[in-house]
Amino acid sequence: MKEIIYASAQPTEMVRVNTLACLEALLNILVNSAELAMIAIGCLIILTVIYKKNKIRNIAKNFRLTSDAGKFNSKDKLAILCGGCLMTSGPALTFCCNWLVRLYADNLM
Amino acid sequence: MGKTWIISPTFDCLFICGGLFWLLYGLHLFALTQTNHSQQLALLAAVSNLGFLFVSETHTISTIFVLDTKDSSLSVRSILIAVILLTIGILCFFIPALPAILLKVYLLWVPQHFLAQTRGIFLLYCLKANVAITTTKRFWLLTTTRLTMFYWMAVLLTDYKQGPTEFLMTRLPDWGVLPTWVASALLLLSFFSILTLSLSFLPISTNGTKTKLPPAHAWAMLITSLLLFLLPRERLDDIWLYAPAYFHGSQYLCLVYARIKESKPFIAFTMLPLALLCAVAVFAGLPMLISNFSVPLVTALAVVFCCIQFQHFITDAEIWKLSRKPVRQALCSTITEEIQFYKPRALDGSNFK
Repeated sequence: MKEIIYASAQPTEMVRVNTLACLEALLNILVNSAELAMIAIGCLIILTVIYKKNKIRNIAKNFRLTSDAGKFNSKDKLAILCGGCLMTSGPALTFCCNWLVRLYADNLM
Repeated sequence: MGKTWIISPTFDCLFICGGLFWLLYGLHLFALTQTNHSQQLALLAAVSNLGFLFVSETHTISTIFVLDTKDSSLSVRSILIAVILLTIGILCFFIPALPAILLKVYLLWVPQHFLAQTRGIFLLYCLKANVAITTTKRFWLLTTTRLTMFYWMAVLLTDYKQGPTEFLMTRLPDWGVLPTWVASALLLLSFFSILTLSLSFLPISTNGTKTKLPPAHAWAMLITSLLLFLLPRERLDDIWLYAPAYFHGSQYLCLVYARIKESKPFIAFTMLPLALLCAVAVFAGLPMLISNFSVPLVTALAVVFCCIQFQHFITDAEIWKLSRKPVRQALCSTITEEIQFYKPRALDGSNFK
């Protein structure tokens, strides 16, 4: 995107375009870290529920599924759903931010 | 059969012995043969970036999961290391040239860290397969890895433009102090030592009994590790897209998992997201926090990166020694007491890392 902006930008607009490029790089760092943290927390919630339920605790020992799997109650299902939402909302947030930056760049052109 | 592997045959072959790494590199080479390969290479670059985020960074952080006061892996020494590194880190914000020096030292230290880890895993596989490692074999194994390490260091210290001139958006100092022939001589010596090491393992009949050979996967892992430094430069640029994450990082995560699965089962089960969370806090959160105190974000990023990496290197060199009983108990619990007692004596003093 940076190349497209540089290629199509008028010389008078170069300063503003450069600022935008820096802003984009900073945004990427921030958005990526938030996204990664959300993925990690979501994954952690799901794995904790699975572990506590003793569903596949044996995976931690020998990568085999146990036959005496406990059933998930509504709270567990809700926790897994929340974890899943957290994991997917990270990439969704990145997509939205990228889209907004692109929209801003288009308007600038 | 299962006793000769660290986790399981599939896991070991893919993540420890370099199976996944060679698979990705094979795909990379295949993509290059296509006429229009930009899309395939972009996809592989994304895989490489994801590996950096999810495996490479997490492996550095996962050292903290191994530290335990019970097995004396968390000692005064490890705390002292952290304090010293913290002091160096703070100094970096007052001495402008220091971050670049730290980055250069990091690049020089990398081959030692990579090769020491694979040497340790090679010895571990030999231990698990009941392969006796004599002093001569151990000497040649150490010589091979050390010569390869010195070769790579010599390359970085010979011609400034041969190695990376910029790292983490920081210009590296020019330490081209060695003449060209040093690197060439070390390269030749490295290949010679590999040959000697292979010959030292030849099954020679002694007293009517044939000596056992190390497992094939152990050899594959060792050779992969050596090739990461000994292949021609034009190949290395592509190889190093995948090696830190899908060979070294995955290897380490598997080892940490194998080490703590009995003592800390919950952490072992949730290790990856936990390490990812810590990695984000350390590698992204900390530089951003420091940058609030009018320190450039790039400098903060470089300093935090180096300090955490050095802590990882130094701590690992201590906590993974095969001669330590807790390490043997965690990683070689299936082997008999007699072998446990005999083999570490043969491996005396060798670093697992």
